[in-house]
Amino acid sequence: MTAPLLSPHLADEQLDDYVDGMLESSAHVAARAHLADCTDCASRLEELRALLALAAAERVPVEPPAELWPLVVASTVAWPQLRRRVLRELRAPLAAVAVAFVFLSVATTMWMGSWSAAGSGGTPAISAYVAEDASFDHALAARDHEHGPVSRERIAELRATLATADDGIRRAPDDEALYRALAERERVLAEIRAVLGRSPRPPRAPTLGR
Amino acid sequence: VVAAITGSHAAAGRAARLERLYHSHAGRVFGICLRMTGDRVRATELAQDVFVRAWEKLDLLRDETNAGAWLGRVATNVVLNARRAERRRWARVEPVDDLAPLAPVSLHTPLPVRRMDLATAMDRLPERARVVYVLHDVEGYSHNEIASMLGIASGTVRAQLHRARRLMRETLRA
Repeated sequence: MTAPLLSPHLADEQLDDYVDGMLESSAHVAARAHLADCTDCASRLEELRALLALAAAERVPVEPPAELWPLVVASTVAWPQLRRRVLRELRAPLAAVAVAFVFLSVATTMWMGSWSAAGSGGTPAISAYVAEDASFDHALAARDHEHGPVSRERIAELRATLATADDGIRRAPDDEALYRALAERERVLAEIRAVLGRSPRPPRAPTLGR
Repeated sequence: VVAAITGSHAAAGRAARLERLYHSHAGRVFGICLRMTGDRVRATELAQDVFVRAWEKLDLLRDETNAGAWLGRVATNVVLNARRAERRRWARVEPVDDLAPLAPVSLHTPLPVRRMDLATAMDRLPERARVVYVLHDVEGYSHNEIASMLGIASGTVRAQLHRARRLMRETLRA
């Protein structure tokens, strides 16, 4: 483990290894023989042993500062209790905040829904189309007589076409069918207005409400 | 006090156990931290960490007759871990290797004086040498145990120990 003895005296490292029992057996025997004869090295060995004894004597408890235990309590024992107390104290405010949040969410959703309906331009429901078509039907019926300006066959044909268009609006299974039915209705109304002498109006956007 | 602070019976029992450990071994724990760091403020912080660690692992300690050795090991690990973290933080700071001479010490010097000078000399050792010296010559760990704790070779531990002892001898001879 340690280099052979080249100096007449033991090096400090060799003395360290000697007291630590780290020398190989032959080196240990040689060092012991040298220490028996050399008062200088024996004195250094005594000095080292005194130092080791002093160091070992250092292994004594040291009075900790008074603040250590309160610090330990604060970061161990008191911490879970403090956490529980904070959570308990925050429970009511947190519940109130949650309720308020839910309430605001519902109110906002309802308001957005109504705003959306209003924001779509107040498109009349299908009932408005049906009522308007009924007025056209009445107007056609009023002209259904023998000496009127329009033949009775033509009026009957227009009324039947209008009824079919109305029926298409009422029975539309989806938005796509509704759009098609409304377009057909606009075409029929244009024919009726031409017969009744009313000017055709521009088509309106269909509504999704029924 | 602890029972008053804590709420449940089980928590009070656990807290009382920690208090018992503290009053039995705080001096040893603080001593290890102080000798390894050479700084009372730092040693107080580290001793606090030691008891926090002990609190977390309290259930692992079945036999309290071994609590002293167990806490000693925890303290050593806490100090070494803190030292590693600080060394990474202060990687560019060069250690101070020179030691200012102390009052000469002989076997005839009264023991309290010798111990005071020894503690002062240990505080002045370069950090790595002091850690190895304290772990070996004061705390009594073997070369291999220290090598394992520090993550270095056993030969490096011996070299640091030789260096620390040489510096200690030179200081105390001066």
